[in-house]
Amino acid sequence: MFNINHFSICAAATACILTGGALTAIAAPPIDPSQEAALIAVLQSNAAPQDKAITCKRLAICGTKAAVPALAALLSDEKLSSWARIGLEAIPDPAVDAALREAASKLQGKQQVGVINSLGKRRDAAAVAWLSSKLNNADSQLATAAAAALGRIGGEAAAKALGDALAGAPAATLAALCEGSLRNADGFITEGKHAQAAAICEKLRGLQVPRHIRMEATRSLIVAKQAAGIPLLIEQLKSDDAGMVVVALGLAHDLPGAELTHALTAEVSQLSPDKQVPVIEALGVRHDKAVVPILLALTKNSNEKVAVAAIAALAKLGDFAAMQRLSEVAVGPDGELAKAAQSAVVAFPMPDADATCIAMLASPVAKTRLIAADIISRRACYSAMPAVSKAAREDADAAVRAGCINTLRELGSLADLSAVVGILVKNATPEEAQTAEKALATICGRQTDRAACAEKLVAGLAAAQPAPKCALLRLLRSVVDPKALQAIRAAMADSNKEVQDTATRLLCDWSSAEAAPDLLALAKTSPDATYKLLALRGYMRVSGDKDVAPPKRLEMCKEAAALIQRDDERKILLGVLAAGADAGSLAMAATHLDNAALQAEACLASVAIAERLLNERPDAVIPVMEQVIKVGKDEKLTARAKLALTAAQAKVPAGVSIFNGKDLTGWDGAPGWWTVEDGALTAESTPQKPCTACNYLIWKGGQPANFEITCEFKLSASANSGVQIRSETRPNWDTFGYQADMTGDGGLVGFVYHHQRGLIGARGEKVTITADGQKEVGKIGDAAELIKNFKREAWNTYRIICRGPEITLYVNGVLMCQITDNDAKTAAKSGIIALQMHPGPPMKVQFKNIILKEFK
Amino acid sequence: MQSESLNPASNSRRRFLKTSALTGGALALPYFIPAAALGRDGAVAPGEKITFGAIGIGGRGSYDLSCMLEEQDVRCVAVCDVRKERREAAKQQVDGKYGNKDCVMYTDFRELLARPDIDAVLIATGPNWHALASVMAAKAGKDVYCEKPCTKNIAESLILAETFQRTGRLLQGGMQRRSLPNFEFAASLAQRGKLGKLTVLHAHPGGLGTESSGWPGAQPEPGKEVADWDMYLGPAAWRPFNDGILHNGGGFEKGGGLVGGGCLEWGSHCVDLCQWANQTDDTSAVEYWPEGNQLCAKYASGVKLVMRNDGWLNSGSCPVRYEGENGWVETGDSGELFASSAELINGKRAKSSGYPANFHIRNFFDCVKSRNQPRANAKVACQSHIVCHAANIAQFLGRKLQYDPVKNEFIGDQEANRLRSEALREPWRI
Repeated sequence: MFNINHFSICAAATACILTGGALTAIAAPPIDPSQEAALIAVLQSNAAPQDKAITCKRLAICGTKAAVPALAALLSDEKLSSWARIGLEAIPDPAVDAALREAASKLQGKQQVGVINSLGKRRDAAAVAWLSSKLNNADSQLATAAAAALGRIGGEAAAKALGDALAGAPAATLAALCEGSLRNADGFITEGKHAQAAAICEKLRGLQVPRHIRMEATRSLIVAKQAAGIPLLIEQLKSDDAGMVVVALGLAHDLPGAELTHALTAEVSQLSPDKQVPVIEALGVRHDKAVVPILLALTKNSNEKVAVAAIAALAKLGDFAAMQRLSEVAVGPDGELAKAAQSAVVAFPMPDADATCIAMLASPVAKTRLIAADIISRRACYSAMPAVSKAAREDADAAVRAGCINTLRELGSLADLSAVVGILVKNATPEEAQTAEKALATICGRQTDRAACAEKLVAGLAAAQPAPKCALLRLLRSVVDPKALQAIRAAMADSNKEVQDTATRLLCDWSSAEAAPDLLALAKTSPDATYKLLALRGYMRVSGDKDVAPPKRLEMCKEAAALIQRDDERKILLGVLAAGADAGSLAMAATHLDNAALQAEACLASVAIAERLLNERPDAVIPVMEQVIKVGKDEKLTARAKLALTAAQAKVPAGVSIFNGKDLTGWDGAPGWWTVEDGALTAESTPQKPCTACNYLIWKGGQPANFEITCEFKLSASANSGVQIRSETRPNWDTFGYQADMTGDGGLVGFVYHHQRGLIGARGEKVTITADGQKEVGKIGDAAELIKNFKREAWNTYRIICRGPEITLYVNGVLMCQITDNDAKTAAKSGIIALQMHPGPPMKVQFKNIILKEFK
Repeated sequence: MQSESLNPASNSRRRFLKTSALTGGALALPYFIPAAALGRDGAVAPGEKITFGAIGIGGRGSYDLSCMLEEQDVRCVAVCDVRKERREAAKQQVDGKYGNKDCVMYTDFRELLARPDIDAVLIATGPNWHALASVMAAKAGKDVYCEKPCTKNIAESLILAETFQRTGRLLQGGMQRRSLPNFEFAASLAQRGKLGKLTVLHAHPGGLGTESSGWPGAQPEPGKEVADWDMYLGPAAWRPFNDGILHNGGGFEKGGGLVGGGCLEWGSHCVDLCQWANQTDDTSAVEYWPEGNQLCAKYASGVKLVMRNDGWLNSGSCPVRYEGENGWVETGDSGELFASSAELINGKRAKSSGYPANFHIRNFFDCVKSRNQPRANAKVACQSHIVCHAANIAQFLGRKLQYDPVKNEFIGDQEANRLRSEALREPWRI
């Protein structure tokens, strides 16, 4: 909306105060006529001019006689006179006219002119005498305003006054007097007073007036004289005066009547070609079929422009009598004339013209048949389609066949597919095959029933030679239908090498996930390296199909990742992953953050996924974003990563400290073993006080399932300890279940131990345990490298995340181990948390700052 | 059924159609008539080009001007604007095209109109000036290409048609979609009965808000040479100078009066297209009423016109839809056609997209030569604008209105009738 103020149309006049500020436009409530008194009071008050202005506009709608004095009082106000006249002009009461007349005689300058304009607008007959008296006024502004008003008021008195003033009028007012007179004449014509109108026009034509006024006068004279004016019109048409020719041509187009049509028809052949052309055009828009014979004759005129104009005029008239000639010219020598005739047949309004097209298609002359095919296409002549289809297959002339195939392309439906398939399969030259293939693509492209298209195309495969077979396969690829895929799959085993190759490449180019199993198989097992690569790429592409559910997509990405050998394909994979919104995709993308060649793509993918994931899995987003910020090179992307990180951090559930740093409140342990020392939970064995059996300090606050627990721990060199998670209690402060393991020498730091299954995940391993207990081990990092993050006999941080089947261990912020435990028998979903005191040589274990965050 | 292309193969078809537009002319064949034969209202030597002047050259105006400058048989000799920077920019545009310094600048368009060597004018001022400047140009013997909306109210619409008829001058309203192939084709389906008896016509109004231009906060005037505020206001009621209106006042006084722009923005295009399809270029609808967030009208034939902002297919800006008993068609500035059946819209045809004015401008200059009526002539513009104005008044008053298109008055509604016209600021008159 533009930045200016708007009037609010308020319900109450008092609310209509406009200030300098912008007001929002509002829908207008109905004007209440009872407001008039209040509105008048505003005009008579000391209100600001803008308030009076809007009040004038409101009175234009609801004002009566009562408002006239207050409005009229503003007529001399330079700022408000225009507003006051808006009010006054609209009020129908005659009191307005009286007030305007009075003001006209008193005011001067612009304000007087304005009032005179209003008198003219209101066609106040009572003002004619006064206005007439001003026509010769020395003030040309006043005189011209009076002339204009009289022209508008009209009638005999006004006309006489204007006519009398014409003689000897100064140049400054002459144009206005003429205009007023012409307006009067126009009024007389409307009222049927043709003689009076003609008299005015004759008089003007005799004066020394500007040329455009003489043209106007001539025009009005011809109109006023009606049929008797036709010779005058023809005279102008033949004139050498260019302006008069313009008048005549305009009337030839605009003035109705058979007499004029007749006169123009009689005259047209005698005119010079330059005039013939527009006159012929005029005959075309006069909607009189009587002109058809002369137009037909003119189509044979030696001047091409004349003949073309005649053709165009015949097209406009749309009389079937012209069809024979039009169709003849259409197939005549190439050029503008033939083109015009072709367009004329195309645009011919009557359905009868369709029969002409069909007849043309049956002509023994090949050129005629070719032109017919084009016209049928442009006319969208469906009744000709059987003939077109037949000619496309059987015409002896290749160009005609191609033309008909193109017509099928434009108009054809499902019903025409088989015919075009037939052309492609049976006898096609390479050019014709190409035309047919294009036609099929277009026809299929506008069908909504893909399956039906596929069926028709598949039907052609059986009898097709290799080249057309390949064409059909290409078309099937575009149709994207299960039947089409089936056909392409079958063709991969075709006996012909070219067909095999085409089919295989089309499969690799397939656009929906239906082809995924085929692509994967090809990518895995094809003996051809190119196919392998194309299939792998295709597989990754279709994994991005919108119909593929996110878990499936991730699974496909994993399949692809296992096959990828080059960074080029890894980049494609990252592109697919980037569209994801799940933790799996994020983790997969993040694995490439350390690869310099892929860093840019990996960062982009990670950030893109993280932005979608941060509400759902802030915990997963945080470490990846931290890494992107660390390794990323692109400032904008790093900025996005920081935003995502901040947002994710805000989303991570607040942790709860489960150890108060002072005593064992909330914990239960074997008597005599656990104390609080220097703010840390501490257990220590000595030679004097050896530990002979495991005991645990058990948290009594619950059995969390999905959570993150962080704690700081410090071990003596010979210590062995651990954090139990998702475990069960056993008698005598023993436990059973998973443990985030730790030893003072670092040996078992970053391992997942289980009381029944032993060390199920080692440092640097990513372990997946299947339902039947089978382990698949992947690598996160090098165990020896990873342990360098551990500080002996010092405080370290363990971060243990349990989510679903996953247990993930970080030490000092570094990922150490992850297991995905689907073991049907022993995997636990929730359980107690406990800290271990291990038997063995004297040792000391300490834990502090234990924070538990439960995921909801 | 919505007949839509399903796959990329149809893109090649579109390209094909585009190239075939060169030969498949649904558009008028431009044939040239030497100016000498037709003469001019002026002293231009025979054989020379149509000379024209450009009035009110802002954003839209410079676009129109650029199209006109491309035409080989016309020559721009003068530009006019109340703002110095725009005058100079327009002159630069013209001189740059012709490689000379000949284009003359005016602040007062009356001086431009007084030049007898000018045959035609482009009027691309704000809507405040359109009708008055067009009428004055016609009276001065010029043919006019005038941007839309062409009028501020019903009275101006009628005077526009009356003046152009009386003077024998030609008006082309800037409803350039009248000259675009997809709109022409859609209209022809309706006109030729391919849709059956018409039932409902739909037009996108580009908004329906009724708001009018107010009294802005006063600011110091920059001086007449820089910006002639009095000339800018022209026929609009007096207001103090305001830079915001001067620079961003594209909607200033649109729809005039209290009624405001309402459906005029695109209605002047889309309602006009519906009038064309409905073959009611010589009349207007007889009943108007607001209906929910739509504005409706009914023709004497019973055909309904619905102006709505929502629910259009993906056919671009300024869409229209014609519904008949046997089918429907919809199109818009994308150039795409949608129809109840593919058979309605198949076939080889010229195609354009966007809403270029060059075809419409070509049609205008052809008519300047042949004296045929342009596609969006004064009569056409008058009636389609009346439909918009009457609908706006119904919206403004919030009630159903009956209209007599012969007497051009609302039946039994005095308030509505008062809104048909508005006084012009002195000394202007129309």
